[in-house]
Amino acid sequence: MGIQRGVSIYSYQENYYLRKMSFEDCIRAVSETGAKGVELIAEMHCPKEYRDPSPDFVARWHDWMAKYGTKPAALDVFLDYKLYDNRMLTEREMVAFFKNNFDFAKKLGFPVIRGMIAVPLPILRDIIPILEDYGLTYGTELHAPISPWGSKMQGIFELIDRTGTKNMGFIPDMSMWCKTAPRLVTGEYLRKGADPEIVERICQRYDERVPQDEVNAEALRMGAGPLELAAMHNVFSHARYDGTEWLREYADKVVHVHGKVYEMDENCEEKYIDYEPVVRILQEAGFDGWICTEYEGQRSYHDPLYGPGGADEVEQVRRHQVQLKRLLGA
Amino acid sequence: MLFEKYMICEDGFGNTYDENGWLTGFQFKLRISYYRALRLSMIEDIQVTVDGKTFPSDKLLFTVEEGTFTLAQMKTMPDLYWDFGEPAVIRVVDPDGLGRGNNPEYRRLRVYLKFRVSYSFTGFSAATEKVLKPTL
Repeated sequence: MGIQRGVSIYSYQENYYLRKMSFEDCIRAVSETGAKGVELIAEMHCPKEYRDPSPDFVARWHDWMAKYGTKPAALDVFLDYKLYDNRMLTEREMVAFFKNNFDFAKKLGFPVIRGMIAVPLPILRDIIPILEDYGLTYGTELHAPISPWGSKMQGIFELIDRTGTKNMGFIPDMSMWCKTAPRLVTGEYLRKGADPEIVERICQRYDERVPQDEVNAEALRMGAGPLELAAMHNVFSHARYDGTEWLREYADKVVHVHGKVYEMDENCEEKYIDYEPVVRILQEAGFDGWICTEYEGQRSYHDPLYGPGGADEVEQVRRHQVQLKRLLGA
Repeated sequence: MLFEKYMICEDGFGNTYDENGWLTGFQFKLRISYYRALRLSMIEDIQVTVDGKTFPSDKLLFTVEEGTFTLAQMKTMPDLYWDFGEPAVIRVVDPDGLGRGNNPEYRRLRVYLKFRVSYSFTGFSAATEKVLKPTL
């Protein structure tokens, strides 16, 4: 089958927040790009249906999928174990929370669940039999600035190997392959008065693969204050680059991909992210799931000093799908 | 970041009155600074400041589609949501409202919102302000 193109409707978040687009409009926008998959954060678009979706809601969802020729690609879930201010959820409550999310996924036809790295390892172990029973695949998102070699991700890879489960893997976010510093995310600090020379030097050092603590030390020597350091933190929390070859070792555990987009240029190329080699490695490894566009650049225009207007989410997603189609050949 | 410039709505700001016409306080409308609907129990604090005067959080009433609640009540409500993009009406109970007598035409409203999310050690917080004209 090969890798398929999808869109996470998270990408239209500003349009939806301001109610310029409806839930249905978001799905229509996906189909208009030629993408076939829809990724959903239930708590963005349908929180009141999340715990116990009504038959009407489920029917309407499937009608939309048929009408627009799209398929459910992945459901993004959050284990809110800090639900209460005076305790964490118990192990049993956490597993029940997940099971409820999985019921929702099954009803809407999502094959893949995206979970976050903060989920405790014993809970991941506990949900494996439920995933196998439901026939669902669960992936932990690996997102900048998390390291693939840290104890969290290695613990997850080890759990998958130890249990031999086919129902658990990971979901790399393309922010893991920001070859150049996403200068877009420094805009807010520059507008607040950060020194452009220091901020650009920080970005250059990122591009040169200088470790963050050295970049930090140099910035301080240049006279960096809180604004410049905040800009630096924003760059390093939104971007990572450890080359692309490391992915080969773990490619068999990839169950879904978040096609992160910070900024698309006029030639329909993401400005900072090294898409081409990563897509090639996934193809060579035989990955045949979804790459879903996850446009996040709109946030960089949300500071009051930017003023009105900002991103054209629909256009950014359209351009990214052009890039993916070029890379995937379909 | 995260909808900061959109949080405080332009409409729905002004003094509130009871059925006898007595000033009961003031209100404004607030949208969330997050990319999903928030369970009410995860809201830690909302601080409201008008022209430098901060009002106690226990004098706030928070209204969403489901109903009107105090911040303390919301701590017990994990299954009710402040919807993504939903303008919640925040009412401050104060017998002087936005102030009696001659008030400037425009007021500087500052809001600090803090909430708890499992994957963040420090918690999510947003501070936003807008210069607004009361329209109520």
